[in-house]
Amino acid sequence: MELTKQDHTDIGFEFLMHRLEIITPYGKDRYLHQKPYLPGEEDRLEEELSAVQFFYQLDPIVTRRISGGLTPFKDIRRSVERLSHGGVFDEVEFYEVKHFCYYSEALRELVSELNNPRLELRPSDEIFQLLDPQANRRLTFHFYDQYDPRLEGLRSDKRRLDRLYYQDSGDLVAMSERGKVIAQLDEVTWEVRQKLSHQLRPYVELLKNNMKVVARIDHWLAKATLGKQFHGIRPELQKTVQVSQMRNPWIEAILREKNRVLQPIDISLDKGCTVLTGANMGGKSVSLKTLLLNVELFRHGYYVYAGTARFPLFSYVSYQAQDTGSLEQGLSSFGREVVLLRELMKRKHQPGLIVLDEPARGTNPSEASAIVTALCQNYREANSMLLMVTHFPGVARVANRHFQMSGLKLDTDTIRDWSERESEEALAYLERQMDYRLMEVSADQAVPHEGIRVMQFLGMPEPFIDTIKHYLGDKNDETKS
Amino acid sequence: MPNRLLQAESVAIVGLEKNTGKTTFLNYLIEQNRAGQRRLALTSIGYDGEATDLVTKTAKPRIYVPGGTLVATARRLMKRCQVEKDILLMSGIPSALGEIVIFKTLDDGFVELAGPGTIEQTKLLKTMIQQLDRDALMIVDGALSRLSSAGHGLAEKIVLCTGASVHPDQATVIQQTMLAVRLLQLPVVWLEDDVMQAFTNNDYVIAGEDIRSGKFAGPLEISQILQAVKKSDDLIGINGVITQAMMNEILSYEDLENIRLIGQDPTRFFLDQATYDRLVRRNIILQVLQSSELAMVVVNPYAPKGPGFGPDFLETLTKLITVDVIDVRRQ
Repeated sequence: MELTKQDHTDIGFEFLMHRLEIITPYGKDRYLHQKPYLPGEEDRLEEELSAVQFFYQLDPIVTRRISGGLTPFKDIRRSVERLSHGGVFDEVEFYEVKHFCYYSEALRELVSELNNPRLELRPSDEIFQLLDPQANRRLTFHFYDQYDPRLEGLRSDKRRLDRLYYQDSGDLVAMSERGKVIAQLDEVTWEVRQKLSHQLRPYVELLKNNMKVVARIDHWLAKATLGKQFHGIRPELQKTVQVSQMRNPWIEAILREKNRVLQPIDISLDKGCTVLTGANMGGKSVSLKTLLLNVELFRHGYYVYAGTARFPLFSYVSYQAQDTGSLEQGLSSFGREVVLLRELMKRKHQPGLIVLDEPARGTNPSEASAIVTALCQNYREANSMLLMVTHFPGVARVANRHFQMSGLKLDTDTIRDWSERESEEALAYLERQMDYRLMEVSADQAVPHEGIRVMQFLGMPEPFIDTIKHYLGDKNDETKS
Repeated sequence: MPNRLLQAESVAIVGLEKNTGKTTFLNYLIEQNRAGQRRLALTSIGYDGEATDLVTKTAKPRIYVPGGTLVATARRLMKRCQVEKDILLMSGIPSALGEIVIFKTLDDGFVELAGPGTIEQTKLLKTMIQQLDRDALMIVDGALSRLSSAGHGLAEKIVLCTGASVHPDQATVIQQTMLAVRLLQLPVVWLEDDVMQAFTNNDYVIAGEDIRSGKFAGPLEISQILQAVKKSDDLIGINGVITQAMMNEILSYEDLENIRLIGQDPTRFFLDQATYDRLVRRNIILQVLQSSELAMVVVNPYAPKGPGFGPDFLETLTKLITVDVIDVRRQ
């Protein structure tokens, strides 16, 4: 029911997530566990967006310093988990906790200047002091003599015996003495490890809390940086969808390679069914993807890419892309669609969002037209928002709202001039003449017959065009009410 | 003699085979530094640990280091380093035995080394060690017993260990040692900028009156470039390893002579003595772009199995080799 990984790739969500600059293993974990906020969690989403906004508005010099402060963190979650279950640390683990405390203290100082209670780390001096009995604040660790009065003596014995053993490996007395001392030293070290682990155990909650704060700072900063990178804005919450000048950085990036630009989109959705019609030049699918991308960003607590953007929280978001795979065409793909629709209709009363790109393409047009019209009718009173692209005439009449792609701006005079030109050139020109903006139109605004204009433009013989118009006239007579 | 080694920036100790006395020499080198002239930083490429050699079941010498030595070894070997250690840095470099830890010894004791598996990671480790102590002498134990751990400009100087464990026949060992020495002493060339650039960006370059370069269509596609070589050409450069099979292919072109064959560094050449001799007869000259200085050859006339070699082994090698040759056990 929710968008799949493939959908996320197709709408450009993955593209943006790949550009998310997460620094710490903690931030990475928070990112990997991100879930959409659901209706009822509006306050939590606002909280998240406010935090992102805070980083968005920070001076770049400060954010760079915070990035630097995040860089040294290593993953000690498994060690800390082990400690909480009674595990005993080895020297490397003590070192790693010391390392963690050192850098969380440094980060704490860095962010404390920002006076934002969300970013507050708890002081970990006490832990650091346990691991720094010589109080020299060096970022190294060993089992210091201070940990046990027996250590110093045993170590000096071992040093002496090692030397003897090394100089004469046949000195059996030295060898057996050395063995005893090493065994004693191992015993004392084990006691030290147990004692020190025991002393650290009460701080497990503090450490875990600080890991969470580090994770949040990291993820928020990454979200803010991503927002800046593509000039995003903070989305607002409201009961309906209302966006203007909406963009899709992924599609923009693809188009930029082809020296083309994406026209920003305005659209509004209410509960019930909204129909999108317009010329058959691909712009509608892009509009759907752009909307979906921004909805997904919004409900995951990211900045969105638009001039203004207001959304409600959805309990689910579902997307049926246009069927492009020829292998699955026909009844099997239609069957799949039916299964999806059947499931979706059970959740009609929920505040969800359903986006369908030309539904029922897999069946014959007269049947399909009826199916799509009925679907639209069915959602008129629904709590979910249904947005669908369709070519079938008459569907819009039963919809709550109707948007149309502005379409071709061809004036008939240019048609003759261009018909003799090279096809590629003509196609490029045609594309430039497309206006991808969406305009809200009346429910009974006819589906535009731009196919014929395109055929004329591309130089189809006039008698053939006339024949088409003849049949179109018949058809229109049949269907017009 | 090893005192000169103690002035180097970095030393790699490599063996022609296992049990050629690498660790004995390492201990000897450490002993020479007993007065503490240099701070030592030890690591290895890979691991051939265990107190006894798993392959030959002979007791292996352990490394005994003084306090103040930097040691980079794998986390799971920490316990076996019977020495007080101050952990300085977790390197983030993985190995089969866990992350590589850099610690400083606080007193004398035995350590075991297991370093990163690749040259690139070892280079990274070297950078970290140099950041911890700019003046430390980095010693890399080429634990993999392959010449390749000497390559890629990792260390400034190389010590080559050879001995009776390489082969029971002394003449064979001398021949193999000499071949290794010749490769390690291949002349380093400076190429003209345009040739160098073509070399760096491609799999091969051929230069003479003009410069031709390109990528190999597939592995070992050397015939593709050999067909393009003209009489007037001066050099063939090949990026990556140059195997025995490629050498055979080169030698099968009977017109190919009086030309330079250039590899990145000595460890890229894989060939036997017969092939080397045939190259010499055809005046095909092997050269390299970079190389470490072969500083010393260490011989171990004892073998874990068999009688070992007599004093003439050392004598012969001393006569044949221009750099110092020592028998580490007689020092």
